[in-house]
Parts: sequence; structure tokens; C-alpha cells
Amino acid sequence: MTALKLHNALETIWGRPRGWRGVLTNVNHSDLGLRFMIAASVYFAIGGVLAMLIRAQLSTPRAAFVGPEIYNQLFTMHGSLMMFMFAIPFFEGLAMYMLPKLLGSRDLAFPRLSAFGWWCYLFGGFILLGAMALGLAPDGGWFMYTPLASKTYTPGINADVWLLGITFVEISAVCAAIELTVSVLKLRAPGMSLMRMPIFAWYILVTAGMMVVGFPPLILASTLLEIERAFGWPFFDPERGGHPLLWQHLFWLFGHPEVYIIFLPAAGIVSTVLPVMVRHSLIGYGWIVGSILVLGFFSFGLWVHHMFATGIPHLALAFFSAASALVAVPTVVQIFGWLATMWAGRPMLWLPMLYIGGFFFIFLLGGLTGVMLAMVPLNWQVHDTAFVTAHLHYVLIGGFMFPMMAGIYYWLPRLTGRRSHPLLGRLGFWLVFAGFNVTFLVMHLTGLLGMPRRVYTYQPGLGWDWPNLVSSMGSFVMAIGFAVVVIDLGLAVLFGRRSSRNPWRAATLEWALPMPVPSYNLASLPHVETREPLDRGHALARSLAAGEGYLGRDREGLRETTGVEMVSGRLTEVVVLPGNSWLPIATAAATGCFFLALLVGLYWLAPVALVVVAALAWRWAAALGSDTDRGPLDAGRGAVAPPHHEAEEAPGWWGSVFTLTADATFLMSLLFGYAFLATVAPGWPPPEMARPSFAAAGIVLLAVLAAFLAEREGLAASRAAATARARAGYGLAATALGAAVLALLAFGWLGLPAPSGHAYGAVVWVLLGYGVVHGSIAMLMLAFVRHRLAAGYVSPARMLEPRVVRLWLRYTLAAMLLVLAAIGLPGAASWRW
Amino acid sequence: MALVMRSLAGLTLWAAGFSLLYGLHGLGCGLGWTREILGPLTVLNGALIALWLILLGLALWLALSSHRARPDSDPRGLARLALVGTWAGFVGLLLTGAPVLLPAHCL
Repeated sequence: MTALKLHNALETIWGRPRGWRGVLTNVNHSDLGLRFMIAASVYFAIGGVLAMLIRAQLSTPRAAFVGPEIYNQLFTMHGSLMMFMFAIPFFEGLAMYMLPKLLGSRDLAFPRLSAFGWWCYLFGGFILLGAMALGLAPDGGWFMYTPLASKTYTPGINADVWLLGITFVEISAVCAAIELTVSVLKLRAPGMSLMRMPIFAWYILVTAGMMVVGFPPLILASTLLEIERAFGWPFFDPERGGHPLLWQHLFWLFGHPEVYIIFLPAAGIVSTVLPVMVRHSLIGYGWIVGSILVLGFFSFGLWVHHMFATGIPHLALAFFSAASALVAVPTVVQIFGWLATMWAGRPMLWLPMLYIGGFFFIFLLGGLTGVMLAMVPLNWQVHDTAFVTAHLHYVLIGGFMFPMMAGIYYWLPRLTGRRSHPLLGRLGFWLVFAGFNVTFLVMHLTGLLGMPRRVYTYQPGLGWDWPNLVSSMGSFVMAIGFAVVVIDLGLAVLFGRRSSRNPWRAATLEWALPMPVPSYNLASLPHVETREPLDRGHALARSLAAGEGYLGRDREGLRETTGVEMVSGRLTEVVVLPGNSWLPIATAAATGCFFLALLVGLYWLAPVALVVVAALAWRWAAALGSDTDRGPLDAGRGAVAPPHHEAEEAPGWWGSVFTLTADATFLMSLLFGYAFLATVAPGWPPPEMARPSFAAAGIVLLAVLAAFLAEREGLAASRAAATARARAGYGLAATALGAAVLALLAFGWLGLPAPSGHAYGAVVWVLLGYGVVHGSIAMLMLAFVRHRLAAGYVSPARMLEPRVVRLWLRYTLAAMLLVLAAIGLPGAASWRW
Repeated sequence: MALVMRSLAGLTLWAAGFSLLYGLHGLGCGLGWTREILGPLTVLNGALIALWLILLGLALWLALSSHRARPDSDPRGLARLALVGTWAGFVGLLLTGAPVLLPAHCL
């Protein structure tokens, strides 16, 4: 087959339909990544306009530009949009777009999940923007501290908009995290071992792993606060055994890692772009990988440094102060690696390098003030002042925006096939750089002079007048700079010079793709033997386009890419990816209905939406898999590998592992909250403890055991091709699990106190709800496998679905037992029959 | 794979140990362990120091054993990663746990 015929065949397989149908059903990672980046940029622009309104208000004392109500909405929406709607989605989009190209793959591991995440993000954003247009935007700060965000002090739906809208968007983030983690680990070009991966993939792998465990605490916190606001369950109300600091703990358990979740992908861009700009390979690759891992872990030990002024014990302050200082070490290891690379190379001051220079200057200052803030005495002095505002902007704009701009300009030829105007781009950089420093450098002084954050006005004569005016002027210069950048990029897309295939002479695989990027990325996939696989000529690119690599053929119209063993990069399977579908948008719309129903108080509609989600999920899963054994397939280059349904470690299995990891983090966060309230909150022990029933608990235990054994029998029979016995096993397991769910509910109705009287009752009912929801989901999964056995989608060779369901079932059973113990053991004295 | 697990083990031990120390401090304060005296220390001090030393011992054992580990594939890179991970876990526990040597009051 000639290169052109191969291109046409693959384009037919991987392309999307024309028109609206194509827009709504598309699951291609390049298109979805671009959509994320464009939508996030729009949110950045909106957040930027809000920032200018804030600066206009603060430019002079006693300004009457906006009142306190509007001002509160402005700074809340500014922070929320920048953190949740811009920074994370933008890097997700970039990662979605670039990763398969860097890894020599044709798409991400779960294309429909990417599309589902995109629609959740879009619909969640509509909720936030719609509320803002109606004057109902959240107004309690982007951190939504209780009791300010509780019903008593924020009675309207403004806070609910934040809690439900952001949670909806977080579903998108968790989907992306799982998608990216599995894609990096499994969907690489053969031969690309972990230590041969492009450094950007390491950064995204660690970041995505952090998101898997970082976001569930926030989702839990939002869920608990929404339940408190909607139904009066008092998790954060100290009058009834709750504690406002529980919110802060859960929020910052997410919030501090979030800073590194934003910083690490940006640092990944620096580690990718800088070596190309200085014409030298990255020095200290192994050390930098180590430092990313260490940073990923250590960043979870800092959350209390946002709470130094809340009156927690001094010893706890010392723990977190030490951790906050220590986290600077792995950051510095990366900086030394970059400096050494620059020292050894020959820096070319192209536009991406200018932005990297700006990053060094700004992020270094932000890092230094970060170490200052990690010290408790200074932290107390400048707590809640403009000094902290200045610090966080130095970290976030320096640590995220500047590297991202470097990345955009570096990959612009890859994204658009065109190059930007050199002078306009430089003008934009200098305006942004100067405007930023004028705005925020002086803001440190404003804070040291005592100006608090989040105040809508101030009196003259306090020494804050001129620094505020300077900051406001600087912010407008910065805004003009960003406008110049947008114009530059727009002109480049429309009228820019066409770029050659590899304009920077880089050595990573994304530059081997044709221009413009075809829907399938590479006509055949390379075998990677070094960290810099791309030769300086175009020999590899030409050979891949001619189909001389892996999978360089059309096999029955299937979307195929290579799956590898995670560590060594050995080819283990041919991953068959699903095609375009209505399911992602339909499922996201049904999920959106659930959140909207809760927001407007139509509580009867919420379960209906969930039933629709479950039905669509069933349809989604049923559309995957294969009903015939294929055996090893010809993968090209003389290699053979089974399709992923017949492989041991298919992406779907790993996707379940990481989903359950996120799920377990949610449960652990809930148990942490329970323990926190029990030891710290006033009004404990509660006036009424649970009076658990031995009978109900016994039935739960027996049913759990029966489900465990029946599923074991079902899976063993599936392996032995005894379909009838396997179906009976799965049927029995589902029935037993149903009995366990009912018994768990009876356990609650018979022995638990009312959830609205005391935080104890509220927490144990949420725990019980967790067990019931998970039991119901696992029951549905067991029924699904039973159905798939009958339909012929399971065989001794095709065991992926039973193995995935086993994971979920065993986790569910363990969680149910844990829930039972957490509820029953503290009240052991009051058990009854 | 063993080296990957080893790289994560030291850091996971740090995360678990840090949480345990913080949790034990909260529990001890909640149960009034600063009022109980154990020789020159309060019970809270003693419990925290004992836990810290146990964690340090485990982390040191992990770090030293990763020097002896032989790589299964991709030799130098992953072996170094395991060393970085386990030693970072040890140093992390040493520094972030060191405040247990301060008087453990609950104010």
C-alpha cells in the first residue's frame, strides 16, 4: 500500500463526520485537546476582565466603581475561573493534544472518556457563567470557607452554584487524570521504556497521579457542604457537633497539591522546550524525574500551611512548616538541571526562550516569598494581606502562564502549521512581563503596609493609595500585553508563514507527524530505542508515513494503536479504540441534569437523571469488547500481539485501578473528617450514638461473603468456558449484593440517629450512603457481566470484563465492611438485636 | 517493576508516616496525653518520638536495601530513581518528623 493510500484508509477510520454530527460525536484527542485549550483561554479572558474590574475598583481609595456585593462576586469568580476553568483545563487540553504525539501513539487510552470530560467541563462552565450573567455568581471566595459559605451567612444559591458547578467540572478533571495516567503508562510506542519517555510525559504522569488523589477531598468537601446547605446536616456547624475547620482541611488537602498540579505541567514544558532552545539535551534527566516524584508526594504534606492562623497547635505548625520548607529542595533540583543545561548549551533567544527567562525571574521570586511564608512568624504577620496575593500570583503566573506561553509559541507550528510574527510576539512578551511586575512586585509592599485581601475599598491616608494605583496601571499594561499575544496568535493562524515539519530541529516524536496533523497521528508507529528518537533529517518520519513501523495497515476498519508493558515498553497488545459516539455528550448532559436538578431544588429529578446516567453507562460499556477470539495479531515489523481484550493488563483494567484509587481517597477523606470531628469538634461525644442491630449487620456480613464466593465461582467458570455456571455465579453474586445493600439500609434505619441533629449522625449516614451507592453500582456491574456472558463477549481468552468487575466488587465489599466497622465499633456498647 | 515499587515505597512511607504523626498528635491532644507523665516525657512526647523512630528505622532500611537491589530492566535510570525515592522518604521523615523532639503541648 502506498503512503497516500494508507493515509486515505486511516483517515477514513479515524476521521469524524462532517458538520454538527462530527462536532458532537467526535472523540479525537487532537480536536478535544484544542477545544479544551480554546475554551480555557476564553475563561482566562473572562477571568482577566474580572481582574481588571477589581483593579479599577482598588485603584483609588473610596472608589464607587462597584459595591461590596458585586466586588465579592468579582474576586470569587476571578479566582474560581482561573483555578478551575482555566489553569487545569488548559494543561489537560495541552496534554491531551500532545501526549499521544510525544509517545508515538494514535490516541489516548479512553477517547470517549476524554469527550465525556470535555462536555462536563463545557456544561459546568455554562452553569457558572449563566449564574454570573444573572447576578447569582458565587461570592464567598474561591475557597468557599465555612461558616461564611454556610446557609446562615450565604442564604441564596450563589454558594450552591460554586459547589455544584465546580464539582461537575471536577468530574472532568478526574476523568482526564485517569485518562492521562493510563495513556502514559500503557499507550506508548514499543521500545519506549519508562526511562526513555520524553520528560513531559513524566511530568504529566505525576501530575495526573496527583489529581487522582488530590481532587476527591474537594469533591467530598463540596458534597458535604451542599448536603448541609440543602438538608441541614451539620458537618460544619459547631452548634451541632460540626467544625468549620473541617472544610479548610478538606479544601486545602486538595488546594495545596493543586498548586503543584498547576506548576508541574508547566515545568514539564520548561524541561521540554529549554533543551531545544539551548541546543543541548536535558542534563540530569534521572534526577529531574526523581525530583518530580518527590515533589508529587511532598506537596501533599503542606496543606496546613494555609491554616497557620487558625489556632491549631504549635507542634502541628512545626510539622507543616518543616514540610513547606523541604518542598523547595526538589523544585531547586529541577532548576539546577535547567541551569546546567543552559550552561552546557548555546542558548538561542527565540520567543519561547524569552518566556522561559521570564519564568525563571518571576517564579524564583514567587518561590522565595513562598519559603518566607512557610515560616510561621512571618506567615502570621502577613496573613490575609496583599502580600499573599502578590506571592500567589508570582507563583501561578510565573510558574504556569509563562511556561505555558513558551509552550504555545514552541508548539504553534505543530498546532497550526504556521509561525508567528517575531516582533509582535516579542512586544506581547515585554508588555506582559513589565505589566506583571509593575502590578505584583509593588503589591508585596502594599501587603507589608498592612492592606488586607478581599476588601472592596480602603480609606485614604493609610499609605496604600499610590501602590494600589501603580498596581492597577500595571495590570492594564499586562492586559494590553495579553491582547497583543492574542492578536499575534490570531494573525499567525490566519496569515502566518507556513512552517516546515520540524522548525526547531527538535528530537521528540511529535515533530515526525505530517502537517497538518492527520486524525490518526502516525501512519505507522515507531520502535523507540533512545530518549531522542527523531533524527535531524526526515528519514524516520518518511518511513513511518510509508507504513514501515507498527500497525501500518488497515485491519477491518479498526482503530488500532500499540499497548506496552508499563516499565520496559515491550509490545504486549494491540489496543482497539472505540470510534465516534453520541454517548459522551448524552451522558454528560444527563449528569448535568443531575447537578442542575440539585441546584434548582428539583430533588425528585436528580434520581431520574442518575438512572439515565446508569442506562447510558451500560450502553457505553456494551459498545466495547469483542464477541470473537482473535488470537495474536500481526502488529507489523515482524511482531505479533493479542488484541487488548485478550491481554492481561489492558488499559481498561488499569483505568479501573486508578478510578478506585480516587474512590478510596474519597472514602479515606470521609473517615479523616469523621476522626477530625470526633477529636476536635465541640459537642462530642454526641448525645445519641448509633444503636446498631446485630441481625442487620449479620445479614450484611453473610451477604457480602456470599457475593464474594459467588463471583469467585462465576469468574472461575468463565475461565473454564462453563457459561451457564458462570452466569449462575454472577446472578447469585448480584442477588447477594442486593441483599447486602438492603441489609445495610436496614442497619441504618434501625439503629442510626437522625442526620440533622448532630454531625455524628450526618457523618454515619453519609458513610452508609457510600456503601449503598457502591453496592448498587457493583450489583449493576455483576448483572452486566452476566448479560455479556450470554451475548458471547466473555470467553477464556477474553476475560477483561470479568476481571474489571472483580476489582470493583472486591473494593465494594471491602468498603462496605469498613463502613460497617466505622459506624458500629464506636458505639459497640449499644449494639442490640 | 520492583524498582518502580521501591521508588514509590519510600515516599509512600513518608506520606503514611507524616499522616500518622499528625494524627497521633491530634489523638493524644484529644485524649489528654500531655497530662500523663512517662519519666522525663509526657505520654504524648514519648508516643510521638517512639513512632518517629520506628518510621525512621523503616525508611532507613528501605533506603539501604535499595542500594543492594539489582535492576530488572532499564538498569541505571530506574535504580537511581529507587535510590532517590527511598532516600527522599528517609530525609523527609527525618526533617518533617523532627518537631516531635519539641515539647508536645497542644496549644
